[in-house]
Amino acid sequence: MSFIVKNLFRSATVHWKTNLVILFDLFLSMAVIFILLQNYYFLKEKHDEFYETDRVATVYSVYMKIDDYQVIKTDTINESSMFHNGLDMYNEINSTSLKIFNYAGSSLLLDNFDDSSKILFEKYKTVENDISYVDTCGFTEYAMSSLGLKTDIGREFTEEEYENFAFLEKMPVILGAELKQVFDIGDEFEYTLDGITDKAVVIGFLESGSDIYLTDYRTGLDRAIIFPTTQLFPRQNRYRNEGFLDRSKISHLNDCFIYSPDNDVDVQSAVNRYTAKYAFPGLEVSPLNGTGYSESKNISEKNMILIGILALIVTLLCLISLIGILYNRALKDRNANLIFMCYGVSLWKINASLITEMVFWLFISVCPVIALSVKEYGKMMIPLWQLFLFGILVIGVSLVPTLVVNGRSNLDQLIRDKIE
Amino acid sequence: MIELKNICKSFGNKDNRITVLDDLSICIDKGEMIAVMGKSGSGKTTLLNILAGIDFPDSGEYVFDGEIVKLNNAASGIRFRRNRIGVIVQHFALINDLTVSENIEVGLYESDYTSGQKRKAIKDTLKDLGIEDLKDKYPSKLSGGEKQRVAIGRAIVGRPKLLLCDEPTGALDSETEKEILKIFKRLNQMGATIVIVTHDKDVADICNRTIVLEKH
Repeated sequence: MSFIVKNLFRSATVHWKTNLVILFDLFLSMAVIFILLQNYYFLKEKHDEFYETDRVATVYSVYMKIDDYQVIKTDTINESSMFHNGLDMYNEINSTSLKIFNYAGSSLLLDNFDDSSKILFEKYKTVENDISYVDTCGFTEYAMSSLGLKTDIGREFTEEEYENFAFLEKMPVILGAELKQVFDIGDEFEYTLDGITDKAVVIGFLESGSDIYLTDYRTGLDRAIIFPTTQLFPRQNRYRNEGFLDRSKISHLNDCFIYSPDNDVDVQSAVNRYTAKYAFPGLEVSPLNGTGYSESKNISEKNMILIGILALIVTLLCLISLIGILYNRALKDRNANLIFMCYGVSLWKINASLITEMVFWLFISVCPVIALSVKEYGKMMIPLWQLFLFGILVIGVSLVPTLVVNGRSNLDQLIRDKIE
Repeated sequence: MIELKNICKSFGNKDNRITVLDDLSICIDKGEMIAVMGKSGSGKTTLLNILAGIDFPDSGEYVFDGEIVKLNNAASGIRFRRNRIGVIVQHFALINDLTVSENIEVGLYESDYTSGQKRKAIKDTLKDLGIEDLKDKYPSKLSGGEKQRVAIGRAIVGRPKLLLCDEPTGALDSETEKEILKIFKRLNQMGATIVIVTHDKDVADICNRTIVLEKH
C-alpha cells in the first residue's frame, strides 16, 4: 500500500503535464457520456395522459424529476443558466399565440373556514344538504381563457393579481356559480388551506356549468373557489420574495399545458424550435384530445441518435489520446518500474498504482460534471454509478497497451543498460 | 551461503543455440567478496542474473542460505530478491525524479521496517556513505561517484544478505573508483557477502577470490 501511495504521488508530480491531458480527456469523455445518459433519461419521461379538450397540449418535464417545491423554493437555481434559458423560453412562447399555463385542484373542508363563513355555509346547507366541503382550484395566467372559463358576475383575475398574489393583503378569489347563494362580490372570508390561514376577497363568479379536467376526470366548478395561483405557500412570509414568480414559471415547465388558439399550428414543431433555440432537450408534446399534434415528430429520439454518435466519436478520440499518452508514459516509466522490480516490488503493485491513479483522475474529472448538474438542476440528474461504469470502461481499455508494456519489462534490460 | 551446482544456461533456438554457462559449480561463503571476470560473452552478467533471480538456469541447482531456490517466472524472482539481494549496476540506475534520500528509500519499499526504522536506516546509510549533504538533491545534480554511492546506499539500506555488482566502477574515473572500492571493502569487512562482475583487475585485487569464466 505504501508503494502504491508513494508511486501515485511521484506520478502525479513527475507527469503533471500528461496528467492534465489525461484529466482533460477523461473530463471530455465523462461530460459527453453524461449528456448522453441525461438525454436518455429525458426521453424516458413520457406523458401518456390524454384529455378531450381541443387545442390544449401538455408539455412534460423540462426540469426532469425536480418537484415544483424544489424549483420554487431553491434560490440557488436562480443562478443557473438553465434557469434563465427556461424563463426566456417561457416568456417567448407566451409572447406568441401559444400560451403556457397550469392548473391544479383540491378540496377545502368547511371546518377550515372562519366562524362567519361557516354560518353562511350552514344556511346554504338547507338548500344543498350534502355540502361539507368546497372544491378549490388554482389557475395560472392564461389558464382560464385557454380552458374557456368565464365569469358572469364580477371580473376575472388581473395580470397584477396573477403576478403579485403573494404580496396582496387579501387573496382575490373567483367562486363557482352555486356559491352565489353564500357570498356576494366584495365579501371577505378567512380559510385555512395547505396549513396556511389566509383572508380572501370575492371578485367574481364563474358561469354556471363551468368545468375542467382534473387528473383524468371532468370536474364541475360550480362549487369551487378559484385562486390566481397553483401554489399557496408564497403567501407565507418565509417564502414571499420577488424571485418567486420566475421560479414558479420555471416550475410550470415541469409539467404544464400549452394552448394554441390556431388549429393549423403544429405545437410540437413550435416547441421543437424553442427547445432547440434555448438548448433544452427535446420535449414530447401530447394533445389533450389524443389527436392532431400526436402526428408531430418527436425530436427527442433524433437527438438521442445524434448525441449517441457524438458521444461515440468523442469517447473514441479520447480513448485514442489516452492510449497514446499512457503508452508513452509507460515507456518513460519503464526504467523506474524495473528498478522497483529489482528491489522486490511486484508487477501487480506497479500496475495497481497506475490503475489507482487513473481512478483518482476519473473521480476528479467527474467532479465538474456533478457540479454543473447540481448547479443546473439542484441535484445529480443521472445515477453516478452509471457514469463511473462508463469511466471505468474508458480507463480499462486505455490501460491495456500500458499494462502489456509493463508486463513485458525485463530486468535483464536494466542490468545490461539496454533500456531504449 | 551460496552454492551453484552444475548450472547450465543457453540462449537462442534449436538451430542457433549459444551455451553461456555449461556445468558451472560455485560455492560462495558468507562474508566473502568475490570477483567474477571473463571476456565479453563469457556469461558474467548471466551468472549475476541467475544469482539475483532475474534469469533462471536451464538445469542445475541453486542453493541460497541452505534452501534450494526454485524460480520459474519474474514474480517468483521478485519475491526471492525481496530483502535478500541488493543490486548495483554500472550505469547506477537511479530514478531521476526522486531525491537521493528517496532513491535510497526504494531499497526499503518492500521491507518490514516501520516508518521510524526506515528514516533511521536511510539516515545511517547516508552517513556511512558520506552523502548526507546530498540527501535532497536529484541525481541529475550529482557526479558519477556520488551517483554510485547513492546506488550502493539503495542496495545496502535494507541490509541484504548478498550484494551483486555488475561493473560498479565501469563508468567512473580512477580516483572515484578507488573511493568506491574502499566502500565495498568496508562493507565486506562489516560482514557483507559481495559478488562483483568486473573487467578491472584493480577491482579483482581487493576481492578474496576471483572466478574467471571462459567463453564457450
